[in-house]
Amino acid sequence: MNETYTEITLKSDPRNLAEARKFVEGIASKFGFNEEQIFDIKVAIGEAVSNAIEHGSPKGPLNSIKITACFLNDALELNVIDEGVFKRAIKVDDPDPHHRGRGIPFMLALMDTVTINETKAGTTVKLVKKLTKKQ
Amino acid sequence: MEVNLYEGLPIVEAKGEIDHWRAPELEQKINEVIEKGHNKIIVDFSNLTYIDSGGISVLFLQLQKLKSLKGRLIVITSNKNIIKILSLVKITRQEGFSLCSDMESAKKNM
Repeated sequence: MNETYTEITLKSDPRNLAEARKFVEGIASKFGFNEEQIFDIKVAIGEAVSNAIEHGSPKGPLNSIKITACFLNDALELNVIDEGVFKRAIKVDDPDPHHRGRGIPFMLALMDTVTINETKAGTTVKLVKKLTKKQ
Repeated sequence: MEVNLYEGLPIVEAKGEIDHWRAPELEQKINEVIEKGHNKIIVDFSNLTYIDSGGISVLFLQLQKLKSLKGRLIVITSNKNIIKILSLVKITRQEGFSLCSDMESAKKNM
């Protein structure tokens, strides 16, 4: 653990989505990401946590979701760790209104790297955003 | 979230942030307007700062309903981040959908 590492654990409840966004907004702002980049990060974390709540929480609100954040080598790495199985992706512009699987395509479109690691214990979604100086 | 009539046009105003938690409220508000017989609806996102795939799914769902009623869904926003999300999912290219920067241009699209 180093000084750039921080984490938060939330109950698996959609009412906590705002808190998850606030958590990453504070970190991204601290490390100099601009307003557009912070928006991208907030959407990506929101989608990852939404999927964790919907598909990674077999016990509902009794499950927890951990978000870790680490800034290293001019990149912010976020991990969303849940206790279930992730939802398959659809195309981000799929016009079918019933599809709720746009989360992963949103993450892919807005972050530099997205890695999903599924194990029997749960799913970890790693999101990386590089700090670029474009304003 | 509020529903108002402006010169007879129904306007659903959503402020702040729409995520998976708040998206059902947006769906309900638009449903209420459709149930009153309107098929052209303005959704005012002028003061919206965040939307996720939950909100986007509601827009696609309600657009489909309005198209089946030969109507339109008009979204007002000039927030570049919101526009980016709407463009990403290509709802802006869907028949029956208009993206406007202000109320005057929204009214022209009705």
